[in-house]
Amino acid sequence: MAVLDYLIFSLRNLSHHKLRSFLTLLGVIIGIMAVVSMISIGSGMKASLKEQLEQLGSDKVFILPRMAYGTAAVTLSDDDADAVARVPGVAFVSPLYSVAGDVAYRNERKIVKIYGVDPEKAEATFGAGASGYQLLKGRWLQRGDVYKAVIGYGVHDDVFSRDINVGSVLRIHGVEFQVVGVFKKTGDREKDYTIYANLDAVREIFGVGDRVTLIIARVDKGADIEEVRQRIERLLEDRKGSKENFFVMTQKEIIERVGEAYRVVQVVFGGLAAVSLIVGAVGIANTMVMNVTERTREIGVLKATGASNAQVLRIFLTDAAILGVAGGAAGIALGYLISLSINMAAARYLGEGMLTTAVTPELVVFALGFSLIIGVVAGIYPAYRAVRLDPVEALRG
Amino acid sequence: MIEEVNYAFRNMAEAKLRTVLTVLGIVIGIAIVVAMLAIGEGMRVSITEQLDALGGDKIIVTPPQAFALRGAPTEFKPFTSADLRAVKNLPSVKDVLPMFYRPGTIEYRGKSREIYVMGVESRGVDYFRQFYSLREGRFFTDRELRSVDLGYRVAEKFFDERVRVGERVKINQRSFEVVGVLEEIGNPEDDSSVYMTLKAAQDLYDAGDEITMLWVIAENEAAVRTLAKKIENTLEKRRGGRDFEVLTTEQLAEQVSTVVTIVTFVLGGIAGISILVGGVIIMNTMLTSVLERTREIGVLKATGASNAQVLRIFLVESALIGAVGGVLGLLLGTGLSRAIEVAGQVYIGSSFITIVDVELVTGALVFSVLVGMVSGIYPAYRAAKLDPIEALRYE
Repeated sequence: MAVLDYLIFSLRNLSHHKLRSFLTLLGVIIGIMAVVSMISIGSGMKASLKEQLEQLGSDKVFILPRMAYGTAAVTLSDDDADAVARVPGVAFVSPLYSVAGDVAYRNERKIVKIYGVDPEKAEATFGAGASGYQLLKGRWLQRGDVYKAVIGYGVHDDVFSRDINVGSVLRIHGVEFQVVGVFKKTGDREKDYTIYANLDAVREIFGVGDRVTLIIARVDKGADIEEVRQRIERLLEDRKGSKENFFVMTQKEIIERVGEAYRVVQVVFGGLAAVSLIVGAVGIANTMVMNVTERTREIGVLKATGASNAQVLRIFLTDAAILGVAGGAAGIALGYLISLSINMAAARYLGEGMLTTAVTPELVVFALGFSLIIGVVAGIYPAYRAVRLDPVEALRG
Repeated sequence: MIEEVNYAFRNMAEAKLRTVLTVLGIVIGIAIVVAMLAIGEGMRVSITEQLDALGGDKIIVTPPQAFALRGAPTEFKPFTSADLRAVKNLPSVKDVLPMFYRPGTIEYRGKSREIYVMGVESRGVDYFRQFYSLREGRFFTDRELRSVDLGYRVAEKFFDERVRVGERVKINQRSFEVVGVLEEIGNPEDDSSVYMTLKAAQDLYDAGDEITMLWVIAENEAAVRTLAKKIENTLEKRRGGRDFEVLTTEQLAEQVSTVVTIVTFVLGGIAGISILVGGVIIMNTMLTSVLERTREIGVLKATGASNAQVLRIFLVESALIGAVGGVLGLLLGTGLSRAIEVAGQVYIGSSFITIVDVELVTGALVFSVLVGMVSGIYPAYRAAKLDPIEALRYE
């Protein structure tokens, strides 16, 4: 018999008990649907992070202190940034100071995140004013802009009860800043709800001296980024005493590190959802056992007319495999729909970029493969029972 | 009823393998859900107990904790001694306890590890007796700027050898004498911290009068809520906005409890999908069972069994499958949660407990019987609806 024959034969058998086959499929469908939609949560987060970091380019090393409760283990300063700039292989550095500070507009006061940046270097390293950020109105900061600010879309639109526009005056920690630009919505809450201003001005009004919270080092073209990273780490270990107090990471490492956290989410959610898939497999086994019992006589006829054990085995394994794969395919489709709705609901209720889901091609292939395997494994024992039947007994049955 | 149960058992025994598989479907689902809920309840109880032990007269003022999950690391404007004085001057405040908290490093015999440095005036230790008890040695005093007490994990787990009282360690490159080691508190952060007097911690970081959080002790419990509100207003005015959280221990317990409950229900819900699949299997088995016993049903009806009786026979059978699955699932789930507890205590700390309480047991049993019954409704209805003459003719 050709493969096609087995398939046709199986489909005919399965359609004989439509409701039973449907219920069995339903078990697998629910399982795969659950797994696909749950794993899509972690995949989506990973994908959006990756995209975010890729906008920054892969030639950068990030230096940041270990923090807790908004305070850092070590203080990084301009001196550290300058020292990093002198490391061989580093083209230049861009220091950033980020603080959650009080901002007043008209009669309202709110706490907003403020990024103090060096306008020119930020454009090249941090991405502000460059990729990922597009101006809706006005312009990006220029050299010599002191008490000027560019705001994210959320600050423009949402933070205060009245919109803030180019020309509006904000009071950051009591000091007036004129808004010169508004960014388009990026979909990333972090970027959208931040005020961007001159590094020295921000530090001065918050009285933090020459402190920085993030140093981004751009690596020379052609330099080995990992080597440069290690050089920077050794330098800072000398300057700061212990490398446990800060992170020196390339973009790849950040993706891996955060990916690790998302992987935990994926494993927990996907793992719990996969339990229903196991139960779905039990359902396939159950159905196959019932089918074999009912078709005892048919099996006897098959064997008596010369069907080999291998052929009988294949017949029943095909049944089980079809149940697995068909359930898998439908489950993937439904899981995709659920993943889409989670995405839309999250964007609506949690804010855009807070939770994204993605059904990747890998996930589809994995889910299909997995459902096939589950079907076949669940079918092994029932099929073996069919094979083991004595044809004479079976005919009598 | 007993008759029906007996009948159901006999039928189930006849198709042994099928019954085993059907029950298994429910067992797996119930077991996982029970384990999830047991973990959640354990977390909720252990956290609530810890917070209750603090006493209802306390208010905590902290920076918002969800800062900088993404994006650039962001500084929080710390509290200062002026903030502290402003709070202290409010009516019905008995005491205000400043705490300093920062990540840092400890070095012992050439090996360096990540820790948190906690600075607290020694009277703070008295307020939190339930939290901090000594394993060995003594607590630092406010005059000792180079003395430190180590959290349980720092002393016992961080290095190849235990760190003993009287030895010296380097914290952020500065040498300290270990004067005491704390008992295990049960959560990883506290047990991975070192404790010194406030001034010593501020000096260590060259942090002036920086204060990370404030514990406010009210004169009496009744005043706590209004006082919390007052603190909020005072600090908001001083700082120009709400970049901090003010929580009474009661609110803190509520908040934590809510979060744990949500997480538990989300995880339990995802696991619970498998029970749904188990229900589908029951339905499938029952449909086959009805089909196989068509003739038998015909006989029952021909000999005077009412539709309601037939319905009941099959409903009892499917409810029984659910019940057996529920009992076994509960046992397996309890075992699973114990295993997770053992693992959790090794990796997370002694506060990791799981609780299978009466509510969970009854809930799981009732739910599994319900799942069985609901799954049996359609097959039982089909059986009840059978025309006796057709049924008798069926082969």
